[in-house]
Amino acid sequence: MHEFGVTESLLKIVEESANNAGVEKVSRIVVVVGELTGFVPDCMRFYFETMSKDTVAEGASLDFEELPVRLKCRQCGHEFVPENREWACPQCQSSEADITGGRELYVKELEVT
Amino acid sequence: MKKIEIVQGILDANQATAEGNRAAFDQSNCLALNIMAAPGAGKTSVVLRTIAGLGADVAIGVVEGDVVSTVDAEKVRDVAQAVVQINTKGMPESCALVADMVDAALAKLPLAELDLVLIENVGNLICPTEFDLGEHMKIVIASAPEGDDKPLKYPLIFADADAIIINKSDLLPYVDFDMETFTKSVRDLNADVPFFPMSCKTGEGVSAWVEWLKGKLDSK
Repeated sequence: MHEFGVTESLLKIVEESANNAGVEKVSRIVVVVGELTGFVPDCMRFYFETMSKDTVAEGASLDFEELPVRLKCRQCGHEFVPENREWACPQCQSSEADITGGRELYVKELEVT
Repeated sequence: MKKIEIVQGILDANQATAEGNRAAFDQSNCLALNIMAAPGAGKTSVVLRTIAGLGADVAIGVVEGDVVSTVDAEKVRDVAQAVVQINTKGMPESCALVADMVDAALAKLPLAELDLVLIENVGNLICPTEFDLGEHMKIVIASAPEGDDKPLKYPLIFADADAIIINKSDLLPYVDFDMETFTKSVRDLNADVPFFPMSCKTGEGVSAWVEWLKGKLDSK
């Protein structure tokens, strides 16, 4: 699995941000993860719990917001969230599309005290 | 409760290292390919066929990513100009190469003497998609026995591919792999990607891939 390194990067970002803002405690971290990525939130939580011991983020809840796949139809330009496996455009039924969303992975915000 | 807005990509650090790797390849005028596939699709066989097909005029370095073994590197050692083995076991990521690993491998490659670097990723269709290594092109190998539905199951890797090799074409008469179904589902997400059906076993179709790659080397 590749969540270990990714969780390390996440913790580093959180620590730096908390340090820059001069806060004592991070109580909640919101991470945005796209549906197409292979990252498993539960796996990241598991690593995070161990890694964040004795850091500013110890005990913080790690919450994930999942963003769906977004496609832009190559035929008619319509942008949509596909409802089926075929990923067909609901407007013109074409199945040719570019992926415009669903591969995000970023820290969105922290709740701090 | 106070909130701090951040919006920082968790993979930014990997991306920065990847850009550094790309700059190092560019500086040596070296083309770098990230070769990705499921286990057993024939990554090492394609590497060997590619080296043989390009011949002695092209100096080739190979970076072999593998979880524990060195069997792939040993197969390649005799024919490539230089080989570096990366074992991902015990590293934070064991399922894919990341930019840091390639950065470390570059220090062991005589980049200035090389025209082409083939980076053989760990066998996996999911994890390698997430990590830019600093390559110029992503080459994805599908093999006929895997079936023609892989682009539906793993859309991202096929959407990102700069070329797709369909290996084990000698088995097409015996397995459920409809070329049209496969290419259509890839093209839906990746309009212009070239396909290279080939058999590393018989050598059929290898030359079309090698010619295409020569064109990329010439225009580099």
